[in-house]
Formats: sequence, structure tokens, C-alpha cells
Amino acid sequence: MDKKDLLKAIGEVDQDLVEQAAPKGSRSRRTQRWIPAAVAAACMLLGVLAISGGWFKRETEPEGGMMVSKVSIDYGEAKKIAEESESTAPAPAPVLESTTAPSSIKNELTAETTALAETQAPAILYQKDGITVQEGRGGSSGSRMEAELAYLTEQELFTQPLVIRAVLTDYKPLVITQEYSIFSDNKIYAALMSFEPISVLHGELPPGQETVKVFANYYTNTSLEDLSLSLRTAGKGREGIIMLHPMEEWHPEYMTQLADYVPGDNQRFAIWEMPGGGLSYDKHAFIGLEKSWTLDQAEAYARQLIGDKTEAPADFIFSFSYRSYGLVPEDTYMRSFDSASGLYSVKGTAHMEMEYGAENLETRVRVEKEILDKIYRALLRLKDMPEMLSDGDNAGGHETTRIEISWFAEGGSRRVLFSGSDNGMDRSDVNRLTMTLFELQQYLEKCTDMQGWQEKLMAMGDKERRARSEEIVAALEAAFAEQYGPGGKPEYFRAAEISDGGYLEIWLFPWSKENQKEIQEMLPEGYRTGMLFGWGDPADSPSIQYDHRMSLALHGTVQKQEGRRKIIDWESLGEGSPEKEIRLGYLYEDGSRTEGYSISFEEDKEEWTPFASLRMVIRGQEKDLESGLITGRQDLEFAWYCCVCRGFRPVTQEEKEAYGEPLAWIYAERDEVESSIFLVMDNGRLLRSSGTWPERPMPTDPSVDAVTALETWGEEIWLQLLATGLWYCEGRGEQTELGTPGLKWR
Amino acid sequence: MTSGSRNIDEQIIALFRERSEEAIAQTSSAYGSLLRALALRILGSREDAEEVEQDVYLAAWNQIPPAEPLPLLPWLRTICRRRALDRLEEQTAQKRGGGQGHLALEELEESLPTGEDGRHWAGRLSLEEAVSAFLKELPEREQRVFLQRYWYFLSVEEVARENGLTRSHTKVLLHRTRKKLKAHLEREDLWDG
Repeated sequence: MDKKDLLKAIGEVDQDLVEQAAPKGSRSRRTQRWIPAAVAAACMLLGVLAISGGWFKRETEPEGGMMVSKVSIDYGEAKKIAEESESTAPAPAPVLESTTAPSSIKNELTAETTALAETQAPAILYQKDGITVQEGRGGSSGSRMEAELAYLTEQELFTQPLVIRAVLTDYKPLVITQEYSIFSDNKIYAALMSFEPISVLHGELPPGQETVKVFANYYTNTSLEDLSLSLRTAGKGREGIIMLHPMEEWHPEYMTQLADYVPGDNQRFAIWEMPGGGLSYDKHAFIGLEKSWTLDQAEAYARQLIGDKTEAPADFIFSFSYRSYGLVPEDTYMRSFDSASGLYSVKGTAHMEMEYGAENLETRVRVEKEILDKIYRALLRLKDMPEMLSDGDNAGGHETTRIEISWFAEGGSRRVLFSGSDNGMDRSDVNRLTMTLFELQQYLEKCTDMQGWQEKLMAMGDKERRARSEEIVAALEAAFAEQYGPGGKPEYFRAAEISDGGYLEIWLFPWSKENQKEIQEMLPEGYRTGMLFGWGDPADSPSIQYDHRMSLALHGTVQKQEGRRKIIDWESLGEGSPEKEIRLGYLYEDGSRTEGYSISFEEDKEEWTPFASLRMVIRGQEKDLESGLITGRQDLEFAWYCCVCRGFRPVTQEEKEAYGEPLAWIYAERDEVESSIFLVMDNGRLLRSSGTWPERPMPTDPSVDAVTALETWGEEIWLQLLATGLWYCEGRGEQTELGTPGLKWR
Repeated sequence: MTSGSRNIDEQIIALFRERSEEAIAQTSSAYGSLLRALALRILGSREDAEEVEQDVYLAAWNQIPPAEPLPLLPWLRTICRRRALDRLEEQTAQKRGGGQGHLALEELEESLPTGEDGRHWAGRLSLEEAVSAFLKELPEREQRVFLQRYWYFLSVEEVARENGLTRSHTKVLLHRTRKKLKAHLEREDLWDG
């Protein structure tokens, strides 16, 4: 058995378990957006919609109604073979290309880009103050999948400060590295792009400007790719509609270099014309577009939306209800709104009423005219949707969603009813419906009355939740006392903790379904829900203080040593074996006794250099620490710059002689603003510098010159800790052939 | 599975049965992005992920019929995971790739039973069954965290975000679960000799 067998075995576990664990990212993107919205608000809206019968006609009529969005695929030679074959044998498997481009065009583009990549080595474009900007390569591993974006409606996308139809005349992928970042994610994937405008759809171009240069930040690969358009094929000459979305200001020094560029976040804000015809874009953002359209049609559509000043008729009234079901039909959550009365209500399962109070789950909302107009325009999108929209045959199936929207205006009325599930499918009707609901939600959330109500509700939820958690804890203590006598409790019960948000977490060791059930059954009816159960000691909870133990969890590859370099494995932390304890009682921090220290080395597998992250609990608060072994010249310089040199000036020869050479460092963030760095010096001393640092120190930021203390410590315990860490890292350094400086440990 | 998605799956399978190339298009439209995302997490390379996705469609083309997997997505996802892991082995041999697959593999080293010398897996339970049994006994949160890391190959940060935990707490949970898995796999009754 090896680790690959194990990984494969995990892949074969019961599908039920796998489905239960499915991350949000593996659900449909629509769902992904809904979940935070539903949770956060305990509130908002929804709806659905529907249709009508030709009420509002638009000049540009999207081709709708397809069951599944079309993807055009080039089957290449395989298709010809299939067509030519008259045999009854199974047709050859199609060769699926990942772009809609005909293979000949695609190949040309790919060949062109490949040639470029081969002849042009990545070049440093800009390097200063710890920032290196380097040419990237198309299709690099810089793709990011988990972008969390604010939702913008289609109309908002088309009314960005500058929206142009343009030809891409130059494209240069960039990788920006912040060398001084001590955080793992120090790379930014970006691009410099030049466009030649053909027409301006929204905003204004400076007079005489013939080229628009864009510095597109973040996620550039993914955004340009848009599932089908690879960066490698985003060659010059490609035409598209580009929406420039403002980006937060970049480093001032760097922006100087980009004076000619408009900084923008490129994610989703581009519609590209495909070489083989059709469009490429994020269909979740542009739900009214059709992939099969031409760019001219897309532009007409955009102009229509940009110029859409349609106002809601005076008699416009709409209402909707959105009901989602949990795993059991009675577990429901419903939001509804009626513009005639302004009544907005949230009805949910018992826990919602428990947390917020049933009487607080509805409010009256005054919808401003502007919002009403937007809602009206959003509903127009549903003009050609069938009145009844069902997610297939629901007989015997579990319905997860039921949406109803009714709409009255200018003497006519409409109703759209959807029932079924809107998860997992790319049906254009369902997509349109749910995205429209999102728009409604966005607009309603902007109502002043709604905002105030939500804030009140959330605060109320926290308070109610905490009160209830306290009641459960009291009930539990009473049950324990009754069953086990005063102060008694089951052996497996370790702690009950209430978190900041008022959530109750109960720790059992060992945890078992039986133990959990026993605890729940000790509680009176009505108190058996609304708590989380955890497996382990209270120390498992980040919010609970460890005792005076320090452990070095160095994994199985490290042999235990005798004497002062004793290593305690992680498991023994919970056992509290006295001979494995190292007292930290005499370690002081700012004059206060640091009884809450607990430090453990934890190998960070995500780094391919010797690197350890530390976990520290100081006075009950968990802190994440980072440490590293100085394994080469660059790290050594880094340590000096970050830790020893006040204000990040270069270290002087005198200081080097005075302090010695650092062998390893530990970065300890004590609280939100203050941090310390400990350096193990080759003369056996421990050097500590501490002060107020910004979260991400920028060497050129004047506020960073804030190292306020520099002192050497000789505490045996620290030396022991760090010596052991060094010894460990050195061993790992040999394994990874990274090399280490001479270890002069005494 | 909802009846609606079942309906779609049935339509797709019908297209496969008819040997219609539209089957691939519909499968791609319905599930392509999910499959690609899974492969990308494991392999860290978009190009490789796209190739794995194509492998999945090819496998579906070859296996349907006679196979008629309903629901379709879990079946496709399992194939995708297997193919991506196969490719991961190739990557490892070529010392390339930067996906979560390599990291997950390294981490699972911790869960391997020690002292295998002279003993043999008894065969009373397959390794898959033993792992399944282990996971079923875990509390829901640990179960979810473990599978999101080692089935779906989410990064530690992503798992933390999914579960409302700190990165550090997530790593501790994973570490402990790996240790528990090791203890579980070392149970005497699973071994002979």
C-alpha cells in the first residue's frame, strides 16, 4: 500500500458521502452566488418570474428557449471519418476541442504563440523595492478558479466608466511578484493590453486617443479564457467589447510605470469574438447574450441596455415568492415581497424564528422610484418565458425550489411559476430567471429601509443565538448535576464553548454518535438543536487556551531525540505527559506572564522549501505564525531586511559583526498591529525585533519604519526550540537538496 | 438528484446510445466546467485539465452503452478524478505540475500504516471499504473537511473558507484526521501475519 493507493481508495468512497461534502465551487455558479446571499441576509429576495405573452417586444430578439446552452465543437477528422464510414461499427470517438474555433485557425494561433514563447525568454520588465514584474507565458499555471466577485448586473456591466468595442493590438501577460511578502500568495497574474477602439459604447475617450492601454489585474488567464478562449489564442487582431472596471490603486511606484495604462479588473468584463464565429464570454454574467450572436448583435444588445431608460408604469405592481426546500420537504425557507403593500417577509425553519423571532421576520419596505424602475426593467427580460416552467418531471422527485412572480402593469398581468431545481443545469430560461431574481435582490437591498432592517435583524440574530446557547449550556449543566451530582459530567464531555457569533460548540472526546445523542437527550425538548459537536479536547478549539506546553510536531520522519533537543509529537499534546512538557512559565512578553503560550511546528506541505508554520495561542487567542529556515542567500537577505534592519535599509557590516549571522527566523504576529520576529543567530543568541507593522509590509511605505525594539534573548527555552527547529529543517534541507548554511550550533 | 437533472441525464445518455456527437456537446455544456475545475485542482495545469476532460468524454463515449450511469455527474466526476490522478503520476515522473494533487499525496504519507513488513492486508475489507468505514465514523465536519481536501482537492484555504474555519484550524483538523486514518488502517483485524 502506498499513498497513491490511499488517494485512489478515497476516490472510491460512497457517493453519498462525496455529494454531501461537495464544495460550493462544484455546484453551479448560480448556486454559489445564492448561498452567501441567502445566509447573509436571512433576508432577501428572490423570485421568479415570468412571462408573458408578448407584452414587451424588443427589437433585438434573443434566440431563447434552448434546453441546454449550445456549445459548438470541432470534431476534426473524426467527424469526417464517421461520415464516410458506412460500417455499423460504433462511430469513432469525437475529438473534443476546448475552443469553438475551427481547428485550423486555432492551430495557427497556437503555433504563433508557441513560437513567440520559444523565442522570447521571460523578461524582467520592472524591478524595484521588492516588486518584480516579469513577462508571463500564456496559459501558465497562474489561473485562479475561486474568484469571489461582487455581482454586477448585465446593465451595470455595460455601463462601466468606459465600454468600447475594440481590436486587441498588443497583449503581454505579466507575473508580478512581491518578494518581500512573507505570505505565501505573493504572485499576481496580470496583463498589459492595448486596444484600438472601433466605437465607444459608454463613457468617453480622451480626444485624439487612438489606443487604449489597459493594465488588467488578477485572474487574467481565467477571464480571457472564459472557459473556451485560451490565453494562447487571445492573439492580436481579436475583436471584442471591453468593459473597463476600475481597480484599486496599485503600488504608487509601479503605477508611475503604468502612467499610460488604465487599471482595470478584467474578470468577466470582456466579450470576445471567436475566430470561427460566435462569442466568448461569461454566460453567467451576460445572460441575455447568445453565444451564437455576432459582435454586431452583441453591440446592439449592449447599446440597448445602456440606453434603456424605461420607467415603470404608474400602475406597476409586482410580487414574488421564492421558496427553497431542504433535504426534507418541511425544511423550507421562503422569501416574498409585494410592491403594493411593501411587505417583505422571510419565513424559515424553526431555527430562524428562534434566532430572530417570528415577529421580526417581516418588514415593510418603501421602494424608491429608481429601484422600482430597475425592477421593472429586470422583469422585461422575462418577456418570452413560459408561464409555467418546470424542471422536468417532478413526480416522485425532490423539489428544491419554487418561485412565483406575478406582475401587473398597464392593464395587463403576468405570472411565472417555476418549480423544481435550478441547480446544476444551464438552461437558459432557468438561468434568466435566477439572474433576474438576483437583480431584484440587489435592487431591493439598496432600499434604505431594507438595509436598516437587515442590520437590525442580524444583530438580533447574534443576540438571540447567544442567549439560546447560554440557555442550552445552563440546561446541560443542570442535567449533568442531576445525573452525576454537583460538578459532575460524563467522562467524554470536554467543554461547551460559545463563539463570537453566539454559536454553541460542544467538544467530546472521544466523539461518537452515541455520545452525541446522549448529550442531546439529556437536554429538555426544544434545546436539542442549534449546536455543533466537535471531536477532541477543548484545546482543539482555536478559542480556547492551551496550557503551558510546547510541542514540536515534526511528523514521522523526525526521530525523537534525547536530552535538550527533545521532540514532542502532536499526539502527546493532548495527553499531557509530564515528562514531555517544556515549561514556558518564565517567558515574558511586555512584562506580562505569558501563561498562554503554546507553540507547535507544523510542516507546511504547500511550500516546496523548508518552511514551517507555527500555531500560537496567546492569552486565549489563536495566532498564526510563520517561520522559515534560512536556506540560501536570498532568504538570508530577506531575513535581514525584514527583521534586523530598521526601516529596511541594508544591513551594515558593523551590525553584522555585532549580531552575527541569522540562521533561522520566526515571524510572530502578536495581534492585529504588532508583531515580532525572532532570529536565531549563529553565535547562539536569539534576536528579537518587534514593532508595529502593516499587515503586508511594503518596504517603501513610510509607515513601515516601525521596528521599535531590538534585543537579544538568551532564554534557554527559545534556543532549545529554535535549535530543534533548525535541526529539523536542516534534515529536510538535505532531503530536498536545497542546501543549508553551515550550522554552527553549540 | 432532482428529477430535472435526471431528465437531462437521460437525454444525454440517449444521445450516447444513438452515437450522436451531440452527446459530448450536451455533456460538456451540463458538466464540463465542473469536471475541468476538479481536474485543474488536482493537476494545476489548465492544459492538462482540458485533456483530462476530453479523456472523460472519451471514456463516456466508449462505455455508454452498455453503461447507463444515472445520475451522470457522480459517474463522470469519478472518472475525471481517476484520470487526473493517472496524469498526476505522469507529472510526478516528469517532475512538473503544481496542483493540489501533489500536495495531497504528500500529506497522505502520514496516513500510511507503519510496520507493513511481514504483514499482509487481510482482504476481509478492501482498502476502499476500510476508508469508507473510517469516513462514516467521522463527525460530519471532519468528514466534510477531509473529503473536500482529498476527494475534491480543494486547497487548505478553500476548505477553510468552505467551512468557516481558520486556515490553521483546518490544517489541524486535517492533520488529526490523517492520524486517525492511520490508526484505523493499522487495526490488527485488517492484517494477516
